[in-house]
Amino acid sequence: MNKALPQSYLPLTEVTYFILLSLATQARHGYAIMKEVRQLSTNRVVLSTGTLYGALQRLQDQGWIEQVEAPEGNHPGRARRVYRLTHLGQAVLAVEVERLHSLVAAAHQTILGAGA
Amino acid sequence: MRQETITRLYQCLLRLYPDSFRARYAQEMQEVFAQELAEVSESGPPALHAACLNELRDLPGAVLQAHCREQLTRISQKASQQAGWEGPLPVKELLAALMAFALPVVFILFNSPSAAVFPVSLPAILILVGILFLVGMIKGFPRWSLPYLGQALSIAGYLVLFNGLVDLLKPSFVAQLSPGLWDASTRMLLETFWAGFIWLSLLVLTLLILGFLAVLRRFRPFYQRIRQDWTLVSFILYAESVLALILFFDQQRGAKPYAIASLLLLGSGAWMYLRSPYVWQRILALFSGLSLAMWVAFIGRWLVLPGLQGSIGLRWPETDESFAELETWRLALQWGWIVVLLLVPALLNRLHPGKRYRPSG
Repeated sequence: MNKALPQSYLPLTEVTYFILLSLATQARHGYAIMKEVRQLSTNRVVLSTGTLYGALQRLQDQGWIEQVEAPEGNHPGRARRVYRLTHLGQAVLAVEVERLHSLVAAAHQTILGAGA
Repeated sequence: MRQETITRLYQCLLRLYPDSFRARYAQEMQEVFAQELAEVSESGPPALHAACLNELRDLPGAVLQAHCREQLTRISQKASQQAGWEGPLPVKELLAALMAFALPVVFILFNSPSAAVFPVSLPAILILVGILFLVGMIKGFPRWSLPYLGQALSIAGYLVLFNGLVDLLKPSFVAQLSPGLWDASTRMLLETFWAGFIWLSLLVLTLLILGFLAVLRRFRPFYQRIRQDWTLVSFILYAESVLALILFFDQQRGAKPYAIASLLLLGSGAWMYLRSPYVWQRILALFSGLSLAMWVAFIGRWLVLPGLQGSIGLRWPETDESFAELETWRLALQWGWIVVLLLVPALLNRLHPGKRYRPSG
């Protein structure tokens, strides 16, 4: 298996998927990731700090996300660590979304086709 | 339960994580947990309890995963640092290295046992080995070229040691032996010395050549690689045993299957060596390949092949042992010496490790 190809990492776990999705539009700090994942999953995936940071460590080591310093809005001048997707992370998320799309499309075709 | 108590309890539970994980994330995790507590406590005690239970529920799994990840990281770091392993070979280079053990198989397949017929494939094979040796030398002896270096050294050693020095020594050596000294134990001692002399000479020749290469600026990276991983010298010595096996089976009727099997087993040992990240695995691969190859030669020589012709050792007057027994012992002695010499560079690896080699590019 060629580990350089994003497709080789699929399918993603739900936790990984939602964490990457939460970082798709902007970089976030840990607590913001936690809240965003809860919102995106409609309260189905509730991350503990242990699960969140275990996943963040793994994603950093894999090179899918990176940690950067960002100034805290409420405390000017105080740097806060945030996470953002790397190019590889973006590519992996994109192919996973495409995979999920094709799964849903197949289901729709089957169900709608059977119902027609 | 008050938030301060919960926070202190959380700090204690963080100690369950590995040190490296805590150094990296503990402060952040405490901040995030404190933020979460502050937010959920506005919704009342049930929300606060749910958040705490959520943390406790996931804690064992998260801690276990963090420890496992740390262990795996330590193992892979240790493997790459202590073993001096340069990483897995690309497929093409692996095949190029294994070809050094396959070419003698081709030679044996096309080599006629009749001395009157000159084996046509031999010059072609020698030229190919020579070309690959030169290509390896130009590229600074990457790992795939080390078997060709070993075979070049063994051929040079054969021409110099056997056809030169040995022929010079043997008549005078044997002539000094009086009939009374030809008892079994004396013969065994002399056979042991003779087998060791051959392989020690090859080791000395190998080390001399490597020492000479170390002086040349072009080959200093190669020397540094050897300093970091002395098992590369073991690998070179291992490849030198190919010629010994070919000579052992030379001109023997019915010997082809055993010769081919022995060489393929040597090749298997080389393949395992090139794939092994740990020093002990690499030495085990060479030891296993060599032992299995010698055992096949052992079986062929002792059990199956009649009418042995030729000898690689000393010539004795008539003795009580059969010639087959004597040749078998000689092979066992050869094996013993090669195994000892294979381990010498590995011991040097332990006693005098070099600085970490970082391949360029």
